[in-house]
Amino acid sequence: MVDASALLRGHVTAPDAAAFEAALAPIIEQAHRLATAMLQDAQAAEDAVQEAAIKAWRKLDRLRAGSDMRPWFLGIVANECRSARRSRWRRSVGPLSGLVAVTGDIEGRAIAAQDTLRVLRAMRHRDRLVLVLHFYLDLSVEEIARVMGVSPSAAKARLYRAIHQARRRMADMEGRR
Amino acid sequence: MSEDDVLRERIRAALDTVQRPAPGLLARTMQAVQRRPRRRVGAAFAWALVCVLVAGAALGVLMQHERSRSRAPAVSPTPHAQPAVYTLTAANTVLAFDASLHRLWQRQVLPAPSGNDFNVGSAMRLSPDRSVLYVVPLVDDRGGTEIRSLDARTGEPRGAVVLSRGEARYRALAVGRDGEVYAVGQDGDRILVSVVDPARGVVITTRATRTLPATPSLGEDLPYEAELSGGGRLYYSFGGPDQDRAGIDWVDVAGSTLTPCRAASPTAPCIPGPAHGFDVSTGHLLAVDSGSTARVVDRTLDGAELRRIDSGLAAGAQDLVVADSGRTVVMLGSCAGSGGLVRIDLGSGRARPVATPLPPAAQPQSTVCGLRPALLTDGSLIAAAILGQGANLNGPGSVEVIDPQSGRVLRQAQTGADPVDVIAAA
Repeated sequence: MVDASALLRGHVTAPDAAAFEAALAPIIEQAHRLATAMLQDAQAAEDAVQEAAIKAWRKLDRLRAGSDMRPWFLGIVANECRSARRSRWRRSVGPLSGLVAVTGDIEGRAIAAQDTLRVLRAMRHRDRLVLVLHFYLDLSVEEIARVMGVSPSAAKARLYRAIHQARRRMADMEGRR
Repeated sequence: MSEDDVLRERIRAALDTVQRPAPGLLARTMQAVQRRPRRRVGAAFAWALVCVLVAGAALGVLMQHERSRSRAPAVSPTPHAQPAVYTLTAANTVLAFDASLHRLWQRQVLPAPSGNDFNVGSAMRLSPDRSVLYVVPLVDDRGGTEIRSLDARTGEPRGAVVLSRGEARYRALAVGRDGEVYAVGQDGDRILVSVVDPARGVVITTRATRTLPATPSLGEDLPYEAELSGGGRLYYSFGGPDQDRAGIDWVDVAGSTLTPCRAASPTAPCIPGPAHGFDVSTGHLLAVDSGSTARVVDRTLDGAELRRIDSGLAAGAQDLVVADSGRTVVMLGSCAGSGGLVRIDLGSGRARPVATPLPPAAQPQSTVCGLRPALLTDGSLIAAAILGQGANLNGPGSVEVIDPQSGRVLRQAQTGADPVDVIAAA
């Protein structure tokens, strides 16, 4: 848990960038993994994390002392990813960089990876997010609920639906092959 | 290994291929943060005051303008052009455009619904004489509870019919030759069909026509499309990609009597399987198999399968449009998938890509894509340009006119919130 108390103690009278940086340090890598998973674009992910950090910096007064900054910040990152994806839609963007080279015996795994990426991309933002939070960032249902701003039961239901949907789409792709 | 573990490994392996280390990210982030100073409370208050003053001044100018307009001699209004395109957005705004996508009018039919993300699908129909537009505005992400009638030319409200005062939600509409309106909805695990007399503003009858199986819902049970065949049968699709709860059913309509089709079991649709858009105008039931990589399934009107045609589009393509007097099907890939546009010759059963769907690695928005395509009278395609698979309240929404021969986007008009439905006054 990243306790926001120390961060909040001084911010009203004097913004403390050093305290903010110290609070951000343990969670920024996870935030970057989330953004990259959601956007599937390394540069866009870094931009989203930076924008999220700027927004978090401005919204520090909304944090309660004693609260965990991690789900709060990841929620802001997730929203930035949604906005980023929408604004990128207006521009023609070239292929992803850094694709895995497909050779020989790893071809099957590469195809499976691309299929999975495609399935994730085709899913709605909230369904993709819940899968990434649970399977990629290993968050619990309670943590997912805090990131998404829903009740734990709603998060559990969304996770179940997203799992069901992802499995079906993957099975359809494989069946087609 | 459990199924969840298998899925976990697969997602991890896939996402690891796009991860790149970002050394120095924290430092760069803090530089970005410190380049944008926090607004102090005092400064925020000052900005708020400035905004209030500017807004007040603008309101004053507007009121002055309105007062001077009302004093001016009455001028006969220019006759309203007949709209060619209507769209209902996720914010419950109906917009009407001419064929060049100039906005003719817009009407807020209900306040914006609760929620953020909404299923796309049928929510509007025109009366047989094109004089009335029927709309099912959204109450929440499950659908609507009433039909609103608007003058199709001017957008002026004509009336409303309440379909549900409880938990039932409605989506798909169909309109009969005699002007009766059919609304298809859902209440829990039951699919409902209501017959509405819009002239009297009453629901004549409502019948639960299907009980869905007791499997957890994927949240896409809502009816997607409804259409009347020439033989007086109302077809409707529901369930989207959910294999367990999706399909196409029909009811034979005789006045206000609805006779549901008989399926293999009470909880199975007459045509089970993933279902979104379909068409019965050719004398066949042509439906998109939206659970796989988009196929068109050709059936008799009683549901017997004749053939399956692979469109070449990715999963996410939900609709089809019948063109060329019933000889061609046109399908558009979704922006959440790989996009693309294909023409399928129904005679040969061959699909020809007009705009190629992109390979998995490419960003989908660099080819033509969209949902809810419809044909304009000049043969071009109108569609909702939506980034995701659902319509988002915050947009950025637009409708676009596409040349179905080349796949080029000819015109585009912003709609604010994403469109939930687009229809052509064809």
